[in-house]
Amino acid sequence: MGEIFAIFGVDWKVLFVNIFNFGVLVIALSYLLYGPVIKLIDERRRKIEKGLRDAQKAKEELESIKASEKKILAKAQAEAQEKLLNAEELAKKEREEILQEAQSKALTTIASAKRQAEEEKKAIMQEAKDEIAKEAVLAAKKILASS
Amino acid sequence: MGEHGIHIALSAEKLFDFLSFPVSNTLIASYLSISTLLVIAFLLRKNLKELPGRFQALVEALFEYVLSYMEEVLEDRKLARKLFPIIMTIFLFILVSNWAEHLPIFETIFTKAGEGHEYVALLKSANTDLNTTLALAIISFFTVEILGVVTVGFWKYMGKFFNFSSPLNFAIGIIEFVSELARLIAFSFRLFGNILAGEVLILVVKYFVPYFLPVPLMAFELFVGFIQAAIFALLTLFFVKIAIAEVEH
Repeated sequence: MGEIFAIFGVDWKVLFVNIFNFGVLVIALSYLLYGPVIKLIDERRRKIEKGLRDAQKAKEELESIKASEKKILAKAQAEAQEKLLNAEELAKKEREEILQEAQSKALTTIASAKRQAEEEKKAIMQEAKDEIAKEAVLAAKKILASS
Repeated sequence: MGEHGIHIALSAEKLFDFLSFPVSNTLIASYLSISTLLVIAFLLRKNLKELPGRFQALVEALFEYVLSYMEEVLEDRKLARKLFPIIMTIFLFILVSNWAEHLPIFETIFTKAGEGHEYVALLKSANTDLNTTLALAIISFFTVEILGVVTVGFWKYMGKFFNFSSPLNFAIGIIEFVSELARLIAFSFRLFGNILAGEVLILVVKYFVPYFLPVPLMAFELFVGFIQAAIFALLTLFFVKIAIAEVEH
């Protein structure tokens, strides 16, 4: 065994130095490279996971908002339709009422005007009759006086 | 060196001693890989952004892939995260060392060193030294055994190897124990042999056909370097999986 080691130049001191160097390298690389890089990878993975989760959540929220928006819109439309119908009906009714009132008013106005005209006519006729009688009396008087 | 023929060394060449620790050219190369990794890690950390650039995205993709694969194999998220630094560092260190070997600075700069003051290459691929690969194998071995003991429990884990319930179980336990130790040899020599063979192959081809022919071989060696790095890391992962599995009775 010792002879074989001598051929290959195996020296316990060199062996020890090599093992020591390797140990230092492992520790130094762990501190400088492995630790920070793996931490970075882990952090990034967490961040991406969170981002994906957030995106999913946002998507779901958006969908629910969209659905409720649609519902509200449909409700508002239905309400508006109903209100419009009501208003139309009301307007129709009012128009009819107004028309009826106007008609009746017009009829009463015409009737009263007719009556008034009739009365005036009567009055004028009476007046004329009186005038004619008066004139006749005067004329008769004149004739009588001249004769 | 050309006129002296091909120079192939099974062992690394010592350059100098530092505090009675021998420093070889493969150790310098290993420090080059380590510092390259550290510089890249430092720059990446400084420029770490939420929105990744190209390089950061590549690193993140690699880490994520390896981590998810480990979680799949181990079926344990926490353990996968604990084991990840070791598996990843094994892979990165072997990969960078294997790929750096093809840089022109390797085995081209020579310096006078050693006992006889002969010329020695300043840089030699880290994994062509059994010291490096055996060190990695020892780390892999202890990672596996410690995780096994911690997860299963000391006595239960040892019961896998020293089972006195029947002669057959005892024999199986001993075989398991030997194969566990043999992994050290298998791990270290697999990596060492592959990388050294690639280096020698290119060296030989360079000696006979210095132009063009080494290029496809170097491309192939890049592939081998990647495969060996992946094998080392994957086998460590699988052995951990075996070690933490509950003992069947």
